[in-house]
Amino acid sequence: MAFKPNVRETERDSRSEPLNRDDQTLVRRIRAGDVTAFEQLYRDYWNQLYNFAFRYVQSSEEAEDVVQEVFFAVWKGRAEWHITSSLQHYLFVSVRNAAIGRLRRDSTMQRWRQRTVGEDDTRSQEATDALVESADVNADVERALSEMPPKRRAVCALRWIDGLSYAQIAERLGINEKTVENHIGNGLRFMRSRLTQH
Amino acid sequence: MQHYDAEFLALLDRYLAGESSAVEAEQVRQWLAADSGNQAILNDVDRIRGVARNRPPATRVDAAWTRAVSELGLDAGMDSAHVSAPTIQPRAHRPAHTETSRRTWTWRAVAASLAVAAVAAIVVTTSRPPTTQPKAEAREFATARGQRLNVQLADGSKLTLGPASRVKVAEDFGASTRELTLVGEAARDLADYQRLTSEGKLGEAGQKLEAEIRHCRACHCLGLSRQASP
Repeated sequence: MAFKPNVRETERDSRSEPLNRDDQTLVRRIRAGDVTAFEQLYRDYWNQLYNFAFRYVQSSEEAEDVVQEVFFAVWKGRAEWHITSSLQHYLFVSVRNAAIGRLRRDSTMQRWRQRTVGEDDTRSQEATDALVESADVNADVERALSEMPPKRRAVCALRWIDGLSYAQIAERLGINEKTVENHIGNGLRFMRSRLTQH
Repeated sequence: MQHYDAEFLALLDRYLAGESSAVEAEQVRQWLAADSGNQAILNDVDRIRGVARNRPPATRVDAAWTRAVSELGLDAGMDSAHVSAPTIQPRAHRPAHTETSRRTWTWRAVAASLAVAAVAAIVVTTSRPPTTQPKAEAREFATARGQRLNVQLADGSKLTLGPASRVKVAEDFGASTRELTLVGEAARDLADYQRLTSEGKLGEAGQKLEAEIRHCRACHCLGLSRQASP
Protein backbone atom coordinates (compact mmCIF):
# COMPACT_ATOMS: atom_id res chain seq x y z
CA MET A 1 0.00 0.00 0.00
CA ALA A 2 1.18 3.51 -0.77
CA PHE A 3 2.51 5.90 1.80
CA LYS A 4 0.10 8.82 1.87
CA PRO A 5 1.12 11.66 4.15
CA ASN A 6 -1.71 13.83 5.41
CA VAL A 7 -0.88 17.35 4.31
CA ARG A 8 -3.74 19.06 6.11
CA GLU A 9 -2.73 18.27 9.66
CA THR A 10 0.75 17.29 10.67
CA GLU A 11 2.01 16.17 14.03
CA ARG A 12 4.54 18.26 15.84
CA ASP A 13 7.76 16.72 16.95
CA SER A 14 9.00 19.04 19.66
CA ARG A 15 12.26 17.08 19.90
CA SER A 16 13.60 18.71 16.78
CA GLU A 17 12.17 22.18 17.28
CA PRO A 18 14.34 25.09 18.42
CA LEU A 19 13.26 27.53 21.11
CA ASN A 20 10.69 29.74 19.40
CA ARG A 21 10.12 33.42 20.04
CA ASP A 22 7.13 32.94 22.38
CA ASP A 23 9.09 30.46 24.46
CA GLN A 24 12.09 32.77 24.52
CA THR A 25 9.89 35.52 25.93
CA LEU A 26 8.40 33.19 28.52
CA VAL A 27 11.83 31.95 29.59
CA ARG A 28 13.14 35.51 29.81
CA ARG A 29 10.21 36.55 31.99
CA ILE A 30 10.66 33.56 34.28
CA ARG A 31 14.36 34.25 34.57
CA ALA A 32 13.45 37.77 35.65
CA GLY A 33 11.26 36.32 38.42
CA ASP A 34 7.87 36.86 36.79
CA VAL A 35 5.49 34.64 38.77
CA THR A 36 2.71 35.11 36.22
CA ALA A 37 4.92 33.73 33.48
CA PHE A 38 5.88 30.79 35.67
CA GLU A 39 2.20 30.09 36.35
CA GLN A 40 1.50 30.16 32.62
CA LEU A 41 4.23 27.62 32.01
CA TYR A 42 3.02 25.50 34.91
CA ARG A 43 -0.64 25.44 33.91
CA ASP A 44 0.08 24.94 30.24
CA TYR A 45 2.24 21.87 30.73
CA TRP A 46 1.11 20.35 34.00
CA ASN A 47 -1.37 17.81 32.59
CA GLN A 48 0.72 16.48 29.75
CA LEU A 49 3.84 16.23 31.93
CA TYR A 50 1.87 14.47 34.65
CA ASN A 51 0.51 11.93 32.16
CA PHE A 52 4.02 11.46 30.80
CA ALA A 53 5.55 10.98 34.27
CA PHE A 54 2.84 8.52 35.22
CA ARG A 55 4.02 6.18 32.47
CA TYR A 56 7.30 5.83 34.37
CA VAL A 57 6.34 5.79 38.02
CA GLN A 58 2.84 4.25 37.74
CA SER A 59 1.60 6.22 40.71
CA SER A 60 -0.48 9.36 40.70
CA GLU A 61 1.23 10.84 43.76
CA GLU A 62 4.71 10.05 42.51
CA ALA A 63 3.94 11.41 39.04
CA GLU A 64 2.79 14.67 40.61
CA ASP A 65 5.92 14.75 42.76
CA VAL A 66 8.13 14.22 39.73
CA VAL A 67 6.51 17.08 37.80
CA GLN A 68 6.60 19.35 40.85
CA GLU A 69 10.28 18.51 41.26
CA VAL A 70 10.95 19.69 37.70
CA PHE A 71 8.94 22.90 38.06
CA PHE A 72 10.51 23.61 41.45
CA ALA A 73 13.95 23.18 39.91
CA VAL A 74 13.03 25.57 37.09
CA TRP A 75 11.86 28.23 39.52
CA LYS A 76 14.67 27.83 42.03
CA GLY A 77 17.31 27.82 39.31
CA ARG A 78 15.61 30.42 37.12
CA ALA A 79 18.49 32.89 37.29
CA GLU A 80 20.76 30.39 35.56
CA TRP A 81 18.10 28.88 33.32
CA HIS A 82 19.36 28.47 29.77
CA ILE A 83 17.68 26.25 27.21
CA THR A 84 18.32 25.86 23.51
CA SER A 85 15.75 23.24 22.47
CA SER A 86 12.00 23.82 22.45
CA LEU A 87 10.53 24.49 25.88
CA GLN A 88 8.27 21.48 25.53
CA HIS A 89 11.19 19.21 24.72
CA TYR A 90 13.18 20.58 27.63
CA LEU A 91 10.34 19.88 30.06
CA PHE A 92 9.67 16.36 28.76
CA VAL A 93 13.35 15.46 28.99
CA SER A 94 13.56 16.92 32.49
CA VAL A 95 10.55 14.92 33.64
CA ARG A 96 11.95 11.76 32.06
CA ASN A 97 15.27 12.22 33.83
CA ALA A 98 13.56 12.91 37.15
CA ALA A 99 11.26 9.90 36.77
CA ILE A 100 14.04 7.53 35.75
CA GLY A 101 16.20 8.85 38.56
CA ARG A 102 13.42 7.97 40.94
CA LEU A 103 13.03 4.47 39.46
CA ARG A 104 16.76 3.85 39.70
CA ARG A 105 16.93 5.12 43.27
CA ASP A 106 14.15 2.72 44.21
CA SER A 107 15.99 -0.02 42.36
CA THR A 108 19.23 0.82 44.17
CA MET A 109 17.51 0.53 47.50
CA GLN A 110 16.05 -2.78 46.44
CA ARG A 111 19.51 -4.04 45.41
CA TRP A 112 20.91 -3.06 48.77
CA ARG A 113 18.22 -5.11 50.42
CA GLN A 114 18.93 -8.03 48.12
CA ARG A 115 22.66 -7.87 48.81
CA THR A 116 22.06 -8.24 52.47
CA VAL A 117 20.44 -11.61 51.80
CA GLY A 118 23.03 -12.60 49.16
CA GLU A 119 20.94 -12.42 45.98
CA ASP A 120 22.38 -11.76 42.52
CA ASP A 121 22.07 -8.04 41.87
CA THR A 122 23.06 -8.28 38.18
CA ARG A 123 19.65 -9.73 37.47
CA SER A 124 18.09 -6.88 39.41
CA GLN A 125 19.99 -4.33 37.32
CA GLU A 126 18.79 -6.00 34.11
CA ALA A 127 15.24 -5.95 35.39
CA THR A 128 15.51 -2.23 36.10
CA ASP A 129 16.89 -1.56 32.62
CA ALA A 130 14.03 -3.51 31.08
CA LEU A 131 11.54 -1.61 33.22
CA VAL A 132 12.98 1.74 32.13
CA GLU A 133 13.00 0.69 28.48
CA SER A 134 9.38 -0.39 28.62
CA ALA A 135 8.40 2.80 30.43
CA ASP A 136 10.25 4.85 27.81
CA VAL A 137 8.14 3.29 25.07
CA ASN A 138 4.85 3.93 26.84
CA ALA A 139 5.93 7.45 27.76
CA ASP A 140 6.81 8.19 24.15
CA VAL A 141 3.37 7.03 23.05
CA GLU A 142 1.91 9.34 25.69
CA ARG A 143 4.02 12.23 24.45
CA ALA A 144 3.12 11.51 20.85
CA LEU A 145 -0.56 11.62 21.84
CA SER A 146 -0.07 15.08 23.31
CA GLU A 147 1.70 16.30 20.17
CA MET A 148 -1.02 15.29 17.76
CA PRO A 149 -3.10 18.05 16.17
CA PRO A 150 -6.16 18.88 18.31
CA LYS A 151 -8.75 17.46 15.94
CA ARG A 152 -6.88 14.18 15.54
CA ARG A 153 -6.35 13.95 19.28
CA ALA A 154 -10.08 14.43 19.79
CA VAL A 155 -10.88 11.64 17.31
CA CYS A 156 -8.33 9.28 18.90
CA ALA A 157 -9.68 10.07 22.37
CA LEU A 158 -13.21 9.23 21.29
CA ARG A 159 -11.95 6.02 19.71
CA TRP A 160 -9.59 4.65 22.32
CA ILE A 161 -10.76 6.24 25.55
CA ASP A 162 -14.50 6.44 25.01
CA GLY A 163 -14.52 3.30 22.85
CA LEU A 164 -16.73 4.75 20.10
CA SER A 165 -16.96 3.19 16.65
CA TYR A 166 -15.90 5.15 13.57
CA ALA A 167 -19.57 5.74 12.73
CA GLN A 168 -20.33 7.06 16.22
CA ILE A 169 -17.33 9.39 16.13
CA ALA A 170 -18.35 10.65 12.69
CA GLU A 171 -21.85 11.37 13.95
CA ARG A 172 -20.62 13.03 17.15
CA LEU A 173 -18.21 15.34 15.38
CA GLY A 174 -20.20 15.87 12.20
CA ILE A 175 -17.51 14.50 9.90
CA ASN A 176 -17.58 11.51 7.60
CA GLU A 177 -16.30 8.05 8.49
CA LYS A 178 -13.47 8.23 5.99
CA THR A 179 -12.12 11.30 7.77
CA VAL A 180 -12.31 9.43 11.08
CA GLU A 181 -10.43 6.53 9.51
CA ASN A 182 -7.74 8.90 8.22
CA HIS A 183 -7.31 10.50 11.63
CA ILE A 184 -7.00 7.13 13.38
CA GLY A 185 -4.67 5.70 10.75
CA ASN A 186 -2.43 8.77 10.63
CA GLY A 187 -2.39 8.94 14.41
CA LEU A 188 -1.27 5.31 14.58
CA ARG A 189 1.37 5.91 11.93
CA PHE A 190 2.82 8.86 13.86
CA MET A 191 2.86 6.99 17.16
CA ARG A 192 4.35 3.89 15.56
CA SER A 193 7.18 6.00 14.23
CA ARG A 194 7.97 6.87 17.85
CA LEU A 195 7.85 3.22 18.93
CA THR A 196 10.26 2.12 16.25
CA GLN A 197 12.91 4.54 17.51
CA HIS A 198 13.47 2.26 20.50
CA MET B 1 10.79 1.30 9.25
CA GLN B 2 8.13 -0.17 7.05
CA HIS B 3 5.45 2.36 6.14
CA TYR B 4 1.82 1.42 6.05
CA ASP B 5 -0.78 3.88 4.97
CA ALA B 6 -3.43 5.24 7.28
CA GLU B 7 -6.13 3.06 5.78
CA PHE B 8 -4.29 -0.15 6.59
CA LEU B 9 -3.38 0.91 10.12
CA ALA B 10 -7.01 1.83 10.71
CA LEU B 11 -7.93 -1.65 9.50
CA LEU B 12 -5.59 -3.13 12.14
CA ASP B 13 -7.24 -0.86 14.71
CA ARG B 14 -10.68 -2.19 13.81
CA TYR B 15 -9.37 -5.76 13.74
CA LEU B 16 -8.03 -5.45 17.28
CA ALA B 17 -11.32 -3.91 18.42
CA GLY B 18 -13.22 -6.85 16.90
CA GLU B 19 -15.00 -4.48 14.54
CA SER B 20 -13.63 -5.66 11.22
CA SER B 21 -15.80 -7.49 8.73
CA ALA B 22 -15.17 -11.16 7.95
CA VAL B 23 -13.43 -10.17 4.73
CA GLU B 24 -11.23 -7.62 6.50
CA ALA B 25 -10.36 -10.06 9.28
CA GLU B 26 -9.32 -12.64 6.72
CA GLN B 27 -7.19 -9.99 4.98
CA VAL B 28 -5.38 -9.29 8.27
CA ARG B 29 -4.89 -13.00 9.00
CA GLN B 30 -3.37 -13.53 5.56
CA TRP B 31 -1.10 -10.53 6.08
CA LEU B 32 0.03 -11.93 9.44
CA ALA B 33 0.71 -15.34 7.89
CA ALA B 34 2.69 -13.83 5.02
CA ASP B 35 5.52 -12.50 7.18
CA SER B 36 6.44 -13.33 10.76
CA GLY B 37 7.53 -9.70 11.27
CA ASN B 38 4.01 -8.47 10.69
CA GLN B 39 2.93 -9.68 14.10
CA ALA B 40 5.25 -7.07 15.62
CA ILE B 41 3.42 -4.32 13.73
CA LEU B 42 0.09 -5.56 15.01
CA ASN B 43 1.61 -5.64 18.50
CA ASP B 44 2.70 -2.01 18.10
CA VAL B 45 -0.83 -0.96 17.22
CA ASP B 46 -2.16 -2.97 20.14
CA ARG B 47 0.29 -1.32 22.51
CA ILE B 48 -0.59 2.18 21.29
CA ARG B 49 -4.27 1.44 21.76
CA GLY B 50 -3.55 0.10 25.23
CA VAL B 51 -1.51 3.10 26.35
CA ALA B 52 -4.13 5.50 25.00
CA ARG B 53 -6.99 3.56 26.61
CA ASN B 54 -5.47 3.20 30.06
CA ARG B 55 -5.41 6.78 31.17
CA PRO B 56 -3.54 7.87 34.28
CA PRO B 57 -5.79 8.92 37.15
CA ALA B 58 -6.99 12.50 36.80
CA THR B 59 -4.84 15.25 38.25
CA ARG B 60 -5.86 18.73 39.34
CA VAL B 61 -3.63 21.51 38.20
CA ASP B 62 -5.23 24.01 40.58
CA ALA B 63 -4.37 21.89 43.60
CA ALA B 64 -0.87 21.30 42.30
CA TRP B 65 -0.36 25.00 41.66
CA THR B 66 -1.59 25.85 45.16
CA ARG B 67 0.99 23.45 46.53
CA ALA B 68 3.70 24.98 44.35
CA VAL B 69 2.75 28.49 45.48
CA SER B 70 2.93 27.38 49.08
CA GLU B 71 6.18 25.41 48.87
CA LEU B 72 7.99 27.94 46.74
CA GLY B 73 6.69 30.86 48.76
CA LEU B 74 5.31 32.50 45.64
CA ASP B 75 2.41 34.14 47.45
CA ALA B 76 4.67 35.97 49.87
CA GLY B 77 7.47 36.54 47.45
CA MET B 78 5.46 38.07 44.62
CA ASP B 79 7.09 41.25 43.53
CA SER B 80 4.58 43.49 41.84
CA ALA B 81 7.30 44.70 39.51
CA HIS B 82 7.61 41.16 38.24
CA VAL B 83 3.95 40.52 37.77
CA SER B 84 3.24 41.53 34.24
CA ALA B 85 0.03 43.17 33.21
CA PRO B 86 -2.51 40.57 32.16
CA THR B 87 -2.75 40.15 28.43
CA ILE B 88 -6.33 38.94 28.77
CA GLN B 89 -8.41 41.95 27.90
CA PRO B 90 -12.17 41.76 28.03
CA ARG B 91 -13.46 44.37 25.63
CA ALA B 92 -16.82 45.41 26.93
CA HIS B 93 -19.26 48.04 25.70
CA ARG B 94 -18.47 47.67 22.04
CA PRO B 95 -21.13 48.80 19.60
CA ALA B 96 -23.64 46.18 18.60
CA HIS B 97 -22.46 44.29 15.55
CA THR B 98 -24.53 44.25 12.45
CA GLU B 99 -25.25 40.96 10.72
CA THR B 100 -22.73 41.89 8.02
CA SER B 101 -19.96 42.65 10.47
CA ARG B 102 -20.70 39.45 12.37
CA ARG B 103 -20.35 37.49 9.16
CA THR B 104 -17.09 39.27 8.41
CA TRP B 105 -15.78 38.44 11.85
CA THR B 106 -16.73 34.82 11.46
CA TRP B 107 -15.21 34.72 7.98
CA ARG B 108 -11.97 36.04 9.40
CA ALA B 109 -12.10 33.40 12.08
CA VAL B 110 -12.59 30.69 9.50
CA ALA B 111 -9.72 32.07 7.47
CA ALA B 112 -7.56 31.99 10.56
CA SER B 113 -8.56 28.41 11.20
CA LEU B 114 -7.43 27.44 7.74
CA ALA B 115 -4.12 29.18 8.26
CA VAL B 116 -3.51 27.60 11.62
CA ALA B 117 -4.45 23.95 11.74
CA ALA B 118 -5.04 23.93 15.47
CA VAL B 119 -7.68 26.65 15.31
CA ALA B 120 -11.33 25.90 14.93
CA ALA B 121 -13.95 28.47 14.13
CA ILE B 122 -17.26 27.63 15.61
CA VAL B 123 -20.58 29.35 15.89
CA VAL B 124 -23.14 28.11 18.39
CA THR B 125 -26.72 28.73 17.62
CA THR B 126 -29.41 27.18 19.72
CA SER B 127 -33.02 26.46 18.96
CA ARG B 128 -34.29 29.69 20.52
CA PRO B 129 -36.63 31.36 18.02
CA PRO B 130 -35.45 34.56 16.34
CA THR B 131 -36.16 37.69 18.27
CA THR B 132 -36.98 41.13 17.04
CA GLN B 133 -35.15 42.76 19.91
CA PRO B 134 -31.98 44.64 19.04
CA LYS B 135 -28.79 42.66 19.49
CA ALA B 136 -27.06 43.04 22.82
CA GLU B 137 -23.56 44.36 22.98
CA ALA B 138 -20.87 41.77 22.55
CA ARG B 139 -17.91 41.16 24.77
CA GLU B 140 -14.74 39.60 23.55
CA PHE B 141 -12.22 37.69 25.62
CA ALA B 142 -8.84 36.53 24.39
CA THR B 143 -5.97 34.56 25.79
CA ALA B 144 -2.35 34.55 24.79
CA ARG B 145 -0.34 31.40 24.26
CA GLY B 146 -0.01 29.52 27.51
CA GLN B 147 -2.92 31.27 29.16
CA ARG B 148 -6.34 30.10 30.23
CA LEU B 149 -9.26 32.18 31.28
CA ASN B 150 -12.48 31.39 33.11
CA VAL B 151 -15.31 33.41 31.63
CA GLN B 152 -18.53 33.79 33.59
CA LEU B 153 -21.39 34.11 31.10
CA ALA B 154 -24.48 36.19 31.75
CA ASP B 155 -26.68 33.11 32.10
CA GLY B 156 -24.60 31.94 35.03
CA SER B 157 -22.67 29.26 33.16
CA LYS B 158 -18.92 29.18 32.88
CA LEU B 159 -16.58 28.73 29.98
CA THR B 160 -12.88 28.06 30.21
CA LEU B 161 -11.00 29.60 27.33
CA GLY B 162 -7.91 27.65 26.28
CA PRO B 163 -4.54 29.07 25.27
CA ALA B 164 -4.34 31.32 22.21
CA SER B 165 -8.09 31.45 21.85
CA ARG B 166 -10.81 34.05 21.81
CA VAL B 167 -14.50 34.07 22.30
CA LYS B 168 -17.10 36.68 21.48
CA VAL B 169 -20.29 36.53 23.46
CA ALA B 170 -23.31 38.77 23.90
CA GLU B 171 -23.44 40.66 27.18
CA ASP B 172 -26.93 39.31 27.83
CA PHE B 173 -26.02 35.77 26.77
CA GLY B 174 -28.95 33.55 27.64
CA ALA B 175 -31.57 36.31 27.45
CA SER B 176 -32.02 37.63 23.92
CA THR B 177 -29.48 35.31 22.36
CA ARG B 178 -27.42 32.21 22.99
CA GLU B 179 -24.98 32.96 20.24
CA LEU B 180 -21.30 32.58 20.90
CA THR B 181 -18.36 32.72 18.52
CA LEU B 182 -15.23 30.83 19.44
CA VAL B 183 -11.85 30.71 17.77
CA GLY B 184 -9.52 28.19 19.36
CA GLU B 185 -10.28 25.97 22.30
CA ALA B 186 -12.72 26.24 25.12
CA ALA B 187 -14.41 23.98 27.60
CA ARG B 188 -17.92 24.38 28.92
CA ASP B 189 -18.65 23.23 32.41
CA LEU B 190 -20.27 19.82 32.19
CA ALA B 191 -22.94 20.73 34.74
CA ASP B 192 -23.90 23.77 32.65
CA TYR B 193 -24.16 21.61 29.56
CA GLN B 194 -26.38 19.06 31.28
CA ARG B 195 -28.58 21.78 32.75
CA LEU B 196 -28.99 23.56 29.43
CA THR B 197 -29.79 20.30 27.68
CA SER B 198 -32.33 19.26 30.30
CA GLU B 199 -33.98 22.67 30.09
CA GLY B 200 -34.20 22.32 26.33
CA LYS B 201 -32.10 25.41 25.77
CA LEU B 202 -29.68 23.75 23.43
CA GLY B 203 -30.77 22.92 19.92
CA GLU B 204 -29.23 20.11 17.89
CA ALA B 205 -26.45 22.35 16.57
CA GLY B 206 -25.72 23.59 20.06
CA GLN B 207 -25.50 20.08 21.49
CA LYS B 208 -23.19 18.94 18.72
CA LEU B 209 -20.93 21.91 19.22
CA GLU B 210 -20.97 21.60 22.98
CA ALA B 211 -19.79 18.02 22.56
CA GLU B 212 -17.03 19.21 20.31
CA ILE B 213 -15.98 21.97 22.69
CA ARG B 214 -15.84 19.54 25.57
CA HIS B 215 -13.75 17.20 23.50
CA CYS B 216 -11.41 20.04 22.63
CA ARG B 217 -10.73 20.14 26.31
CA ALA B 218 -10.49 16.39 26.42
CA CYS B 219 -8.08 16.27 23.57
CA HIS B 220 -5.89 18.94 25.08
CA CYS B 221 -5.26 16.54 27.90
CA LEU B 222 -6.49 13.03 27.31
CA GLY B 223 -6.37 12.41 31.04
CA LEU B 224 -9.33 14.69 31.53
CA SER B 225 -11.48 13.00 28.97
CA ARG B 226 -13.26 10.61 31.27
CA GLN B 227 -13.98 13.38 33.71
CA ALA B 228 -15.30 15.67 31.06
CA SER B 229 -17.43 13.21 29.15
CA PRO B 230 -20.97 12.50 30.25
